[in-house]
Amino acid sequence: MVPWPAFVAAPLAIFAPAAHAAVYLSVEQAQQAIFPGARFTVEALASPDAAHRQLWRVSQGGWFIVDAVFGKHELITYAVGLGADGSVRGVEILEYLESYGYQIRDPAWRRQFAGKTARDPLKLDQDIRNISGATLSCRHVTDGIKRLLGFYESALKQR
Amino acid sequence: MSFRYAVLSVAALALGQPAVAGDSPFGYVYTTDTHPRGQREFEQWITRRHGHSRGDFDAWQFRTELEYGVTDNLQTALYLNYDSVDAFRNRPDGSTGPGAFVPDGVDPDARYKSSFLESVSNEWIYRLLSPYKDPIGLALYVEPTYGPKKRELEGKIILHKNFLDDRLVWAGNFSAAQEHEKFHGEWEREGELEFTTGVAYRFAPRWHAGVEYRNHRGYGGSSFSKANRNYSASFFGPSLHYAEKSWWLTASFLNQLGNAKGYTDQAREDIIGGRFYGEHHERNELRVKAGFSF
Repeated sequence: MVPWPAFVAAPLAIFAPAAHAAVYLSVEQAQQAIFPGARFTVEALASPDAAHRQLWRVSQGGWFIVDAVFGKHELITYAVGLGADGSVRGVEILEYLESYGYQIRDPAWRRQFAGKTARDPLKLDQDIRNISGATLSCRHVTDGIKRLLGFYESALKQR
Repeated sequence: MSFRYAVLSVAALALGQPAVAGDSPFGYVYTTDTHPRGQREFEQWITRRHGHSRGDFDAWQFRTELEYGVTDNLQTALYLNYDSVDAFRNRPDGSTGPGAFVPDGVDPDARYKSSFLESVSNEWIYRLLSPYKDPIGLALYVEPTYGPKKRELEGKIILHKNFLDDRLVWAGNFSAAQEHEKFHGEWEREGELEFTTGVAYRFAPRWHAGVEYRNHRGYGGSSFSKANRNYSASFFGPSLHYAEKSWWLTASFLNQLGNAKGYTDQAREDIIGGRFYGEHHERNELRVKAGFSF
C-alpha cells in the first residue's frame, strides 16, 4: 500500500516551483569575459532610480555595470562593459528566469551592441535586430543598455 | 526508489523542460501573446457557473486543451469541452430547467444532474502587431466548434497594450459568434456579440492582479440587427495570475451586474433583479485555468 504522503506529494510536485537553471554567469565571470585580465574596483552609486545597478571601475579604463530590467514575470540581470570612450565593449546575461526569450543570450545578438554609444538610436528593428519569440526580452534589455549609456554620459563621463 | 521519490523525480523532469508561457493574466480576456514556434502547452480550464434567480443551479464547464506555436505569430489549439450540471427548481417560475445546460423533457419538479460532452473546438490566433514593439498589439482569432448539439464559428479582434515597462497590461476583445444549437429538437440559429476588457498589474515577481469586464449580447437569427436582439448582460470581477517557468495558474471571478436588458418577452421573463438567467448566464462565474509546457 502506498503511504498517503505520496498522494499528497504528487499534486504538490506539479505545483512546486520549477527548478531554474538560470544563473548563467557570476559577476566575476562576466567581468573577465568582457575585460580579460583586468582588475575591478567597486564604485559608489547615487542613483535612486536604479535599485539593481552596481558599478565597477576597470583597471584598463572603462566601466563595468550590472543592472536588471523587467521580463514578463521576473527580472533579467545583465552586465555591460563600457570602454574608456563610453562605447559598449560587451554585454553578458547573468540571470534569466523567464519562460522564454532566453535567445537573448545568443552571442550574435549581444554582439550588435558592441561599439554603441549614447548617440546611437538603440531601437529594436532599427539598429538592433529583434529575435522573434523573444521580443519583450530584446526590447527591455535594449532599453536598459540605452539607459546605461545615458547614465555614462550624465554621471560617469566626468569621473 | 520510493513511490514518492519517483513521482517527484518525474515531475521535476517534466518541469525542467524548456518552458513556454503564452499565458494571460486574465481568465476571460485574451492578449496577443502567442507561443513561439514549436512550443507546446497543455491547459486545463474549470469554470463554475453558479446561481440562478431561485432554487439550485451549479454548472461546471471543463476545457482540456493543447496549444502549439505554428510560427512565432500563429498559434493553434485543439480542445475538448465537457460539462456537468446540477439544477433544481432554478427557473423563474420555480420549475427545473430547461435551459442551456438542462434539456427538454426533464421533470420540472425533480433535481436534474448530468455530465456530458459538449463540443470540440479548434482555435487559431494570428498576431499582426506586437505590443512590445508596435504602438498596440493586434491579433485575429477564429474558432470553429462542433458538438452533438452545437455548431459554432467565433471570431475575435484582440487588442493589447502594455504600460509601465510592461508591468501594467490592458487588453480588449471584440467577439462575434454564429451558432446552431439544438433546442426543443430543432436546430436554432443564434448570434452573439461580446466585448471583454481587463487590466492587470504585476505587483510582485510572477504575480499579476487585475479586473475584468464582460458584456455579452444575444441575437436570434443570423444577423446582428437591432430587430434580432434578445438580451444584453454584463459581468465584472477580479483576476489573479501566477506564473512559474514551466507552468502558470489564473483564477478569475465574475459577478453578473444588475443591468441586464431583455428585448423579447422570453428574455424579459429571464431577467430577475436586473440579472439575466437564460442561455448560459448565471449570477457568478469562477474560472481557474492552469497551463503546463511540455
